[in-house]
Amino acid sequence: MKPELHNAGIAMGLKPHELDHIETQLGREPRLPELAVFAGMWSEHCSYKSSRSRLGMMPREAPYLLAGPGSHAGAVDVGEGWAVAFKIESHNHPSAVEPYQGAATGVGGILRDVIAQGARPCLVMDSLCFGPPHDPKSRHIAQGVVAGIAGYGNAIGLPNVGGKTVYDPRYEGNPLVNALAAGLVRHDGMRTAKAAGIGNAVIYAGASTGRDGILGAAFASVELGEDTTEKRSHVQVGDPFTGKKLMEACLAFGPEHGMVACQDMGACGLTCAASEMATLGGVGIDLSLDAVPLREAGMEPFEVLVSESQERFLFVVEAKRAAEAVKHFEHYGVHAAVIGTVTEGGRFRALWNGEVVVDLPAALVANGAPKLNWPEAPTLPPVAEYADFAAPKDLSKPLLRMLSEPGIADLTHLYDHYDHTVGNRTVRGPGEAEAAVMKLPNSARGFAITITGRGELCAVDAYKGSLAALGEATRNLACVGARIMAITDGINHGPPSDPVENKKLTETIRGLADGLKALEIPVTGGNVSLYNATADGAIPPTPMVGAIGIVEDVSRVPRAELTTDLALILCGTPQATPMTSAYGRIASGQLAGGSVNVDLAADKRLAQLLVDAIRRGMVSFAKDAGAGGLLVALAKGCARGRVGATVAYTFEGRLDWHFFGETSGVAWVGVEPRFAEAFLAMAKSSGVAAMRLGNTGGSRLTIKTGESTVLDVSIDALRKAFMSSAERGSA
Amino acid sequence: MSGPSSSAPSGARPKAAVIVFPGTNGDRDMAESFERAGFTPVYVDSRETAPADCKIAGVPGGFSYGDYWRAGMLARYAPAMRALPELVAKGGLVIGICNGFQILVEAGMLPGALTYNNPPGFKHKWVTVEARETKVKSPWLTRVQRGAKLRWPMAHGEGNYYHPGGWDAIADNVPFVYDRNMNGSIGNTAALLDATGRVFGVMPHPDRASDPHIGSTDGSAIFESAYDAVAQGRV
Repeated sequence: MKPELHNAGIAMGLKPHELDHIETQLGREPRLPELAVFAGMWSEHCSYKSSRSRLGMMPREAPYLLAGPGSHAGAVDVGEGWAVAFKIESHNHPSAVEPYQGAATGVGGILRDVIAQGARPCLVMDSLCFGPPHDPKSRHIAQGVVAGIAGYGNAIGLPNVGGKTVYDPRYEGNPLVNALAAGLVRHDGMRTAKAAGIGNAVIYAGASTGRDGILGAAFASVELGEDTTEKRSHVQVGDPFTGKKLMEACLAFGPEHGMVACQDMGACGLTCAASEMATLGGVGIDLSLDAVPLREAGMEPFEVLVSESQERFLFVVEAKRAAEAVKHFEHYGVHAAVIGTVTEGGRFRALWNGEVVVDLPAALVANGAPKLNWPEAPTLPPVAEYADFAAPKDLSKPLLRMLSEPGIADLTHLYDHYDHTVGNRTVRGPGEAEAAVMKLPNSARGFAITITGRGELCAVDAYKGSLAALGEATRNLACVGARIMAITDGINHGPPSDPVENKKLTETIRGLADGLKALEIPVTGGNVSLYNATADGAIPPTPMVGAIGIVEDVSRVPRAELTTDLALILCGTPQATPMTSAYGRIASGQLAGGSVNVDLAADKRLAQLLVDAIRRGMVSFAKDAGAGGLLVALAKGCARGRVGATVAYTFEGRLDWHFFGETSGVAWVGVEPRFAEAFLAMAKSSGVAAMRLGNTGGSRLTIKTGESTVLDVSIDALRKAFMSSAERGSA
Repeated sequence: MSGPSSSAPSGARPKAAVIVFPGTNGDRDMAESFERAGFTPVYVDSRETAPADCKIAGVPGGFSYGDYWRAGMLARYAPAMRALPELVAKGGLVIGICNGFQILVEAGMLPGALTYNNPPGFKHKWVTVEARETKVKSPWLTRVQRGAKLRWPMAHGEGNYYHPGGWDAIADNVPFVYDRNMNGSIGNTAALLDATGRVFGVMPHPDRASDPHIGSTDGSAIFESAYDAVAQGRV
């Protein structure tokens, strides 16, 4: 290969062995636009070249799975002829550079995956990790991200129904912005990306193509460095108004209009959509780049091929109905053009002014990236235990401190920026229950959805932390009466080129795989974002888990706020020993330490009990113990419900670890006293330890163990601490 | 109280037009609310006009034309909007919710202006509005008891109602006020009637409070009032 061509390939992010592989496979030197095509499609973001073989460890089949990994978005059968299509996507690097647009286009991008599946989007969720709110740069990023998510989601008219926000110095400079979208589709309304029909038209619909997001996929696949702010041109720019018109036009355009296949243009834009559609269908595609609607003059063919301009779709349409299809889109105010043809022979070709600028085997482009087998450290360096600290005698001070901790404190002020009721499907929105609950049209049936990640646990043990994320998702769904049935995963990791980070990636995927097997559920697809690191080091491994389950009767879903005169029942067996936890971090001042307490079997047993009891209509309040442990869970229920509680019992072990430790399989349940005995009997037969410990009422939260009162605090004080982040102004 | 939808003979359901602009996103919410009250909703493309047999027209929420300029500024020029004054003159009823309220104000069918929230920014919240006595009796409000406190979601960034004449200029025509100031509106104004009572603009969303499963049914009375007006031949 000519040195200038070689250097151009390296500058685009290709590796020397990949350049060699390209030349060998083609039997000739690649053209410059062809190099750009490979640089985009063989980037980590598009090819999963470092993680692909390991991702195969995860189970991906279930009888109710209607579309799995490799589809636009996974889809599960939720009954009454409906399927829910859902998927997670990361927009970490764009959000680090340009928070508003990075986050906005993250939302827009994941919506198009759901739309491509044929589903009408019905919700957005997000899982965000930022540096601490006292850091001005992190605050700027957080505020921009929240504004971007709100700006796009509100305008396109989708409710944001919840999520998770973490503040941790290890995400300073490399925030995580993972967006999840879900939509409803009739079983027979699902779409395919398989191009078919030699001679059929390839139709471009949506916004015109500009120079934004050129090789954005490649940018997402390198570490953030000093020159990061110069990468703004890699960041896409969103336009929710165009997105909305395109969404309506696409959802109204189906097989009855001669549509054969569709795919959104996301990472690596036109190249990705065309080469993947051709590969899936075992056909070729010829593109006339001159016919692509362009936003600016003087664009080079390679720029047209790899631009990541937003709000664009590619369709294969029966040839004789192409003109009609273009008219359909124009009716919706969406620009459309015939830009290519389906061909025989599996070639991905692009022409520019009549000259062939790209002529490659489509499968080599879409699936041909050589797997990268990075060296893996044999073992991970041990993490030191927390330094010893004295146990408090009274829990009020640490409790109030915990309740005001960013990441635990109430985020209502943040969620107020998002519309959560548009669309008339939201049964439980942000903060109203442990998971969001949506209803199906004209039905009391619905589904629950949650998103979580436990990077702080993965920092100590990526395998157990991944299990813990699955456990938390299982408990969250169970608290609204839904059994976990499938997940979409968003894996966020450091650079695999570092043997230690690469080992952590294996541990994360192994944890997810083993957890899914234990829960007997599949992954439906997801996203892998590697190279999340700054000069200060890699982020903690942070697998996000987006999980879904069916709610048979939405009128029986408990709330996450306590009401008066309920019997309080503690389910599970809290461990009173040191473990990695929010409490351990605050009390010791160390970011990481201790062991990770995880017991997925306990979570599964607890979940079965909660689902059964909720379906029988016995449960008024259910809240699992997550970050902050069982006392924070109870205090949050009191604070949200503005009601006190009196609890009395004895236990073994250290006071603080019992109340603030984060043991798996622990939850509070509030039932009307008449249901208490029946619930305890159900718990016994489910193999879940459960004790009735007190009642709600009054205006103080009081806990007695034996003769001593270990907590006695007013609900006003709890609320003041819990709601404090609004005053601090953290986004 | 038997619901009007159960008492309406099938096939005789009156139509209600729901005007859809590019960028409208509350059209289905409004249509479902009309449907539950006994209407057959008819979506009307903003480039067309509502069918002649629609005596009720709704302008739903959303971001018409992206709302990149002043909210509702462009939508007023659409053919569907230009036909509304005539509908009202003939005795028809018009409701505008959220962006629809903004559009009705921009179109001059309701007085004053809706400007940026104070404090600024988009805000979503379940709010309590209180029903007030108004001078004009509105067909939209016959089922709403004066003094009633209703829970509806608000979801807007430009809902700060302003009138150059101040509160006194509109007090007689304000059927709902927020229980506390949510967005800077004079007198906590959440909704407004025109002089005839037939044009009703409301910033929070009664159309998102008409399904028992999703928080509140406090919005149903609005749509049921309109149904009564049609069923009793008052429009």
